[in-house]
Amino acid sequence: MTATVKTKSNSQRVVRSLHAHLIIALALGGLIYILAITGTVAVFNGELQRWEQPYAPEMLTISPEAAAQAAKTVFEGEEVATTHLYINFPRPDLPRTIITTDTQAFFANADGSVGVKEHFPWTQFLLDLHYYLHLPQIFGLTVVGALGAFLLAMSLSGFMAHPRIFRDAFTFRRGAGLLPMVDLHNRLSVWTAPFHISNALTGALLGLASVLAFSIAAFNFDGDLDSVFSPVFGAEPAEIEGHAPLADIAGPLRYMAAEFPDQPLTYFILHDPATAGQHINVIATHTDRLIFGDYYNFDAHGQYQGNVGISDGTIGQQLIGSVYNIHFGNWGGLLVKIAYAIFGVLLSVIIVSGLRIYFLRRSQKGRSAPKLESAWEAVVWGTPMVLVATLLVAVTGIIDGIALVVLFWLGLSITVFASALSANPRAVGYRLRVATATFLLITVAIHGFINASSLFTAAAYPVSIVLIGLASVVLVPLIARSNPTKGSDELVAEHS
Amino acid sequence: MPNLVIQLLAIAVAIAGTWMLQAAWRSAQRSWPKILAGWGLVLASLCIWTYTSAVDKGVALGITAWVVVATLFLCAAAMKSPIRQARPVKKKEATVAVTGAHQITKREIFRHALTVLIIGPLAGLSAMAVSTLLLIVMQALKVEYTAGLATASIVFPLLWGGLAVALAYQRKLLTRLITIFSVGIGSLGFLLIVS
Repeated sequence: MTATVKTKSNSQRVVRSLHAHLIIALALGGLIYILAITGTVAVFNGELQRWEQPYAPEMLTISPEAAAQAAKTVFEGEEVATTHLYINFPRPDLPRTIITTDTQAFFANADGSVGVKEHFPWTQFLLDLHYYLHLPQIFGLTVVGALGAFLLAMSLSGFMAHPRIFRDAFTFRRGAGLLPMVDLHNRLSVWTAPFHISNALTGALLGLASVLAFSIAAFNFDGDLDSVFSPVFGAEPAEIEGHAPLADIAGPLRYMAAEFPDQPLTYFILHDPATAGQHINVIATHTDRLIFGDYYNFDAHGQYQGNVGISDGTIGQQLIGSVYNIHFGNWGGLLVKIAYAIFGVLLSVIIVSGLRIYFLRRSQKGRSAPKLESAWEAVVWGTPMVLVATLLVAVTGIIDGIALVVLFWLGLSITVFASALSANPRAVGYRLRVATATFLLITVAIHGFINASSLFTAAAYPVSIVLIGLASVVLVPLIARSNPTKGSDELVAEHS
Repeated sequence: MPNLVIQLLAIAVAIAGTWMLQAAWRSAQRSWPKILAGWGLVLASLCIWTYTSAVDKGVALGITAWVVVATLFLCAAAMKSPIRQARPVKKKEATVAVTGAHQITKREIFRHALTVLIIGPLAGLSAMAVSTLLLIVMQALKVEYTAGLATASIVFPLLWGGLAVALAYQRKLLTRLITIFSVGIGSLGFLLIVS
């Protein structure tokens, strides 16, 4: 009797958890999928920036004097006084020195001269899509953060709906019907859970930080937003007006090299340059930690003022300082990045297989929805296709900036709408995959033609080879497949 | 010991732990010694990783390596599994749902819109209010500020996700409304009192 009651309550829990899982997946699966795809590609944003400008000067290190000289030259060339002057130092995945102001950025040569202007429109477009979905910044961040919270909700409801989670952990039925699809979805969800839960949590944390800060400031600091995060990242000194000679830039860099030789520098930030209140932060990485680095502060005369404490301060500082790196996977070199990319692809597979299960179940119940399924297929394969299309036009230099944003969203909307009208999901998937692979190959060809002189540099050929590899991965299964236009009804009939 | 040797040792221990777990979960009889040994080895692997760098990065590297190992075990299990033979299935008479067999009523649209509102913005605002309240309570209990801030930042998305599931889990719209308003208004009330 007790066993029967327990089984009934278990099965009720499974049904209701699945219902919750389905509600969230149907409402937000498409947007979460776009974030998963763009996040996977964004892991390699450094490599992509290099690929977009393969001719830019590269170096493993730069001397303090050369960096200071380049920064001074860029600063003096500004028409309107900048409020911040940055030096981005070379790092393994982006071995370039970049001088940035409020309005522009230039590469520095190793001898301290200023090189070409920095220009990576597609990588910037991709990062903006992943960070904000191209919405206005704080609103976009909040929406993306909310999607992270809903990905957590899907993980939770998925686990609740899975009473034999451990017993089935290695069960995998192969084939093309419903049960193999369920196995694929469940097994990948369980085994990659440490990745997708930590990534959803850190993504949500980054996205929702601003809106939470508003709430904390309102109830705890009389609306003073700066007070919320200043105990973590340090307070901004009061602005002091009045002109002053540009602060010593090389001095702090020499000090860091002498006192902290094992901590590679990532950024030099001069606040309010050439004013009486100018001050300096140098961000240095701690290569054996998860934190993004620590702030080392200097005054305008190059006198060291101490570090903020991300590396050795309170537990809260160290935790918050680790969030960004955990999310973007840039804490362990190329191998960790490759692992993140694989996990990102698997997360995308989990999302796609989840919705496929829904459509297969509908078909089995005689309630197939070919238009809806075609629209979903267009999201699945249309997203990479339109992303590659934007890459193609960005490489040709025809359009950049907001035009890429319009092309992406308009292109994806038209693809989804036209696919829904066709009501043939398999054909939609087939055509979009062919288009994706074709665009990839054309993009690599055009990139090679435009950048012929830099074709065999470390900045260009590795990414080109990976893109050709991706095109092959997409194309080969299609060539091997006999009938690409079969719908899910037929698949259910064949394989269930 | 050079880092590479320690890393290889940690990976070997993770493989042993995963193999043990696989053996335990696949057998018909539940074997607690095997399960505990499996988890113990996985934990030991994470501990070994901490010798390759600081504790935080070591554990992160260990988890990443273990997920890769587990995924490879899963691939191996899938490769060993026979491909299911196609068999005919008794399918209910096919109807295309979108052709209008079921007319969506205004009442249903209202219910769906309200569900989206409850699970989305309302659950989010409630979670934000609870997280802010949590930070204020932790400060009142003399917990160091940045620790409280980190806790509130982590609790906010977890709570939003948890609330979304709890609300979607409810069948009745009224229960959903009662749940969200008790959490939201309750925490907001406390916030106004304590701040």
